[in-house]
Amino acid sequence: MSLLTHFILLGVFSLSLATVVSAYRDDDMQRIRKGILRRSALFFIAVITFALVAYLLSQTFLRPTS
Amino acid sequence: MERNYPSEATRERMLKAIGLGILLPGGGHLVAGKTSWAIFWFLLCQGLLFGGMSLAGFTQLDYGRWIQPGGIPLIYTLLPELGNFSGTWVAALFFRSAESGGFSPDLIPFRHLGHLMSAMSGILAVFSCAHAASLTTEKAQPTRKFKVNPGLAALATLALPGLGHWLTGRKGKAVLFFVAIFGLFAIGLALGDFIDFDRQRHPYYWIGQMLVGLPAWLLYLPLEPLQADGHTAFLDVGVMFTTCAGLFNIIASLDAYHRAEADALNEESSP
Repeated sequence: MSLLTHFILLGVFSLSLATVVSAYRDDDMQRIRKGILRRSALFFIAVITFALVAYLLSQTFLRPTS
Repeated sequence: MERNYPSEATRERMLKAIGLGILLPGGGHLVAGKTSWAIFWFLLCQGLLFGGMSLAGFTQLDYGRWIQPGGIPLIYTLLPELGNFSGTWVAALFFRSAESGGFSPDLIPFRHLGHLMSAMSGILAVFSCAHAASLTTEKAQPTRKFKVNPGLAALATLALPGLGHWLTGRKGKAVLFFVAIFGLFAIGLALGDFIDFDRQRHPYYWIGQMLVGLPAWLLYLPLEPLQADGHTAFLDVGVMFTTCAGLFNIIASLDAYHRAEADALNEESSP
């Protein structure tokens, strides 16, 4: 599984989640469209941030010492 | 936008209808004074449950556990069948799984159809409560005219994600819900090489997957014979996508109910 595949799958899930949440929150199509973009970007960035923090910790403080 | 809600007294009646409907499918419709609907939901849900359990040799019971405080059998935690509370309770109390008698479930020819039917029973029993609640509202406030009955809008979403919104005239939202939910489910199935929709392999995820509704129910039997062919790299992602699609469909159903109800309430309060 390449990194690009991970990003694509995360993008698909973020978009789907944001669509459902935005359509639930609002009834106006314009607001829904804006909400989808904002929420999918927010979720995508949040997950990547968590992944980056986890990766950095695994390479520094949590790296096993021999 | 000003938000309207049913009156306090109506909400109490709705709660009673939902509580009774959970205990016994159709019970909520009696609160609404709809005897023929009550008989319909009772026969449909119990027929699907006991028909399905008989076909599967009651092997559904292998997936549940009793909660019995003080030794009293109170709740049989078998999901999604538990939506039909009384039926599941009776089945667990009086019947035994064929497997507990040493019989291999693989030898039961219509086992998967049986599992599908009993799961449908539990899910439909829960949705029948939404139908009962909206009929109770109509009875409590007869002047209220629903363009689409909110319970039917929720049930339509179970038939096809987005259909409930389509019926209330929200075609854009209907398309969005359909693409987001069914699209996620289809992608998830493809990622899992179509073997990730199986109660025996993923019993907990299967509960969520069944909530996608009719499209998933129709796909369950054709996909069941498929077997893993080597390593499935995206199986975990597939299982997660398909399960989330089912959970998203519940959100869509709740929204369909709420919007159909709000349409009538807003119309009523407008001069």
